[in-house]
Amino acid sequence: MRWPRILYMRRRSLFGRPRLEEEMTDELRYHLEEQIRENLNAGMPPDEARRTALEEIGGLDRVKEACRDSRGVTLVENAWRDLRYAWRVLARSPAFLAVAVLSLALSIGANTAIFSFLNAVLLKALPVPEPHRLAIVTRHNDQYGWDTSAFNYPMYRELARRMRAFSGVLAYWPMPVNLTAGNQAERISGELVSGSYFRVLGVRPAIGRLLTDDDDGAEGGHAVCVIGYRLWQERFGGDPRVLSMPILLNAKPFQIVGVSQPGFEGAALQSRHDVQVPMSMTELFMGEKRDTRGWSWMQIVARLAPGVSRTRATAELQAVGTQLDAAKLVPGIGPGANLWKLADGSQGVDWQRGQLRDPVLVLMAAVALLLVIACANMGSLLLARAARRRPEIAMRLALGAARGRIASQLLAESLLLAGIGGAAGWLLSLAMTRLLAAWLAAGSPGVVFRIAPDARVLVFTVAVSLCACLLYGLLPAVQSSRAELLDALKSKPAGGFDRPWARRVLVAAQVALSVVLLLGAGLLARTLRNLQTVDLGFRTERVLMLTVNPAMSGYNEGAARTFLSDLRQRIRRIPGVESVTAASQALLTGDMFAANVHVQGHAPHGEEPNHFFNLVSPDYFRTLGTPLLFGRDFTEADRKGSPPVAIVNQRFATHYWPSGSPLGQHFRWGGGIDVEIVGVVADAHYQNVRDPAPVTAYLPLAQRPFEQVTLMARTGGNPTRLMPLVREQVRALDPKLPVIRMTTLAGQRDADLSRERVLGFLSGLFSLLALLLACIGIYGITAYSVAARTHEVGIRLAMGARRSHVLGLFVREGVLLVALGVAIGVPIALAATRVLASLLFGLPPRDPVTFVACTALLALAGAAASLIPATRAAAQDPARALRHE
Amino acid sequence: MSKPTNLIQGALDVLILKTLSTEPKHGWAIAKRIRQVSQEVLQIPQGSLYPALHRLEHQGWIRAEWRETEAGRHAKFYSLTRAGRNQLSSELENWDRLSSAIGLVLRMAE
Repeated sequence: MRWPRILYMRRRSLFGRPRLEEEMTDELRYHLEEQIRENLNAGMPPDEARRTALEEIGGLDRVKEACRDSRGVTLVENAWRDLRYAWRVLARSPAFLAVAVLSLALSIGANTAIFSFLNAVLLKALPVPEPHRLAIVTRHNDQYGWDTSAFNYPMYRELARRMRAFSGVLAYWPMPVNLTAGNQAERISGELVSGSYFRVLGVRPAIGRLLTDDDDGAEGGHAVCVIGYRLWQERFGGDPRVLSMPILLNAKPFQIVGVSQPGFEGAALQSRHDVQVPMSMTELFMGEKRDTRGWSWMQIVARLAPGVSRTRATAELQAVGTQLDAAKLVPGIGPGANLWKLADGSQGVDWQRGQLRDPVLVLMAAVALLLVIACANMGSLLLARAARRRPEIAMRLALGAARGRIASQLLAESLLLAGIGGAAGWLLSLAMTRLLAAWLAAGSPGVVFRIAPDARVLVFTVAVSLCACLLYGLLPAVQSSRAELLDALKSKPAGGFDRPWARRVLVAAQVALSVVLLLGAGLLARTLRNLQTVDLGFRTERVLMLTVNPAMSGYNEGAARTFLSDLRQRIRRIPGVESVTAASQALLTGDMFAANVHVQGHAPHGEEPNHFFNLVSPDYFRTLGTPLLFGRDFTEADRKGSPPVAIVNQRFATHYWPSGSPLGQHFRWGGGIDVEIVGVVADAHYQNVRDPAPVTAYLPLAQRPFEQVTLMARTGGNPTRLMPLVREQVRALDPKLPVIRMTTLAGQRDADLSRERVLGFLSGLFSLLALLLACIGIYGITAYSVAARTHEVGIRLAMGARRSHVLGLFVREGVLLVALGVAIGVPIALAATRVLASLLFGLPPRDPVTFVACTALLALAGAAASLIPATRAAAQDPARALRHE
Repeated sequence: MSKPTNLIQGALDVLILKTLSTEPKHGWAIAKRIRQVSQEVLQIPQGSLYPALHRLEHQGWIRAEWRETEAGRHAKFYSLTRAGRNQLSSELENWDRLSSAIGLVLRMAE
């Protein structure tokens, strides 16, 4: 009851001021008149009655002032007055205002942008009720030492039936889908889901109904699907008649039974899945039956029963899982015990958290350092201003201003700067996050970062701005309000110099922190350089890549082969194309095809490697520039029906035939298909740039069935210019076949390195900003010394000191500060760069080259920053300097 | 007129609340009432009364409204809020405890 009233009063005190003043006057006048009347009644003459009454009241204005004070608004009112005053003061020095706001906006903006990312990657959860009760089921096998989260469908059914600690279990697998509506085909991302999917997640329909267990009944009989709200809006204009619209998924008619609620875009936070199909339709999309026991493919997510902790549920899961293992629910799983685990599922089935956790934390640390450096810079700028304003402040103190009020006025300036800087930083961060998301997503197709700022980001920005304000504003405010009155009054404005120890410390701290940032950025930049120049085993320049999947558009194997060979011929005829080849696995995309290999007479020694495979057309090695070392390339004669052959890479050859030639040797792979080795090629990278070339075998594309296929063309000129022509050829063959990916091999390499590029670029940017701020600090302090010692320098010059000597005097001061900063910063950096180890490539975290280069850069920049004011000092006319006061 | 007794702030607050517990009054009437009831011992200086009223209103113990007096004049009347009533009863308890404690100490000192 009381608080609303108090709030009402406060608001009234603040904003209803004129009325309140009037009421107060009326009230006191009433009192005065009553008093006079009483005095008159007591028999006093009129003027005496009035005089006594006024005396008793003791001065109307004093009473009013006391009333105002007791209303307790002066604090707010003073703050408002201080802010207005601060704005007037700041507006008078636009250069300072600009530097201050710019450095704050950049550093707060960078912090907000990176925090938006951290928020999206680490903190946000799936937009479903109680996401923290979701958990991902995984299993660790003792014998093989690997974790898997892939299960078969019977396992899902058993877990759903037996687990008491789960209130529900769902199964899920993402897949690309060709959607045809009207006469337009496009490739979208979809999910195969168990019937329990929507119920367990707690998603509601926008229109129609969602999938239920009935839809996930007998295999093949339920051609229904649910589409996402966004697809409904974008593709179907939000038309409710979509429920009776004929559509095709992978060339088969489906019925849309409902649209899911807005905001829900699938079971993985950082991706967008537009269509959910019940698992009863698995065979259509995956080419295997849902209930196949020997096929572990889907992921299982559980919802913990209310009040059940993940630990307790894990214990039950271990017991149930052990029973299921004993029942041999998954044939072929090795001996050895399985350790069942539950991973956090609040972001759904998402691997972005694991991928981006380290880079995001590193960047967050970098921007936090940047902010501290910017604060140190601001602090030293404000101290310099305070020193210049000392006479003014002393005068005000002498005239009776309270020290607290002076300090609060100075703090108001800091607060105002933080407010403007924070607001500008917020706007800046919106642009930065969007840019960042676009870059990062380039490396991982299908990823949609949920970077839209939420309340948490807003609170972060406000908190950061306030912390910054306290960090840089408190020291100057306290210092100048403590100024000794007499000393301050005595010193004339121009002579008001002291030994600015506080500022020196701040500048040294700036340098020290810049060292840390620069070194980190240097290491990351060199990592990127190493990755960009690593010998991949093929040449990335001038190669165009085109990925299609005829099988998804309803082609059978024969038709797909004809289509592929027609397309190859058409592309080869495009002027500027030198050679064309095709492969089942696209390089550097993360695509991978691995299988077991058996070589007669080979005794396993040590850890057996993974064997990677690729199905390739003739001319593959010539097109990519991978040298053929021995034997022959595949030819058109290696076709279905001809003897199965293989080409292996050097690692493969030396692993199985350390001495002796592999040519003519045989091996068996997968289910026991025997092939003869006809060639050996140089090692080449496969899935990505980072991992070294694996043990690889190549098989003729013509001898194996394939689905998705990537054509690669080496061109004489810029391959991007040929892209429209290539697309035209695809359209000429089949206008309804979607192009899954069209890029260049170099572009694919860059996309694979997007994480490293973003990290390298941003850390470089932040460290250069830090360097700039440190230089401003050094420049400022040297300029201050130069101004303070003008008179002394005049005397020195007049006495015959050489100008180089004067120059050295001031440069030495700057260099000493840098040296001090480096001495503090290097040990910190040595400790700090260790956390980067997992992100580096081809160099140790204590790489001496980087350390030397970065400190040299810093020393040079510091010297240059102090050289500017020092030159001015040395160049002055001694006579004039002597007259300087 | 004897010299008015100096009042500590807390005591003034509780006096005002008590005076308002029967009916709403304007400032003048509050001062007069306290003076009468205390048999002219307690004289509230205006310089303390009005700030105290504003403070109490600000704290939400009392509320103010403009009304006609019996004489037909416009005056600012103060009345207790529910919170103010609670505050008064707890202040009264405190006061009883405090005054009996002080009484004990003073008697012992004799």
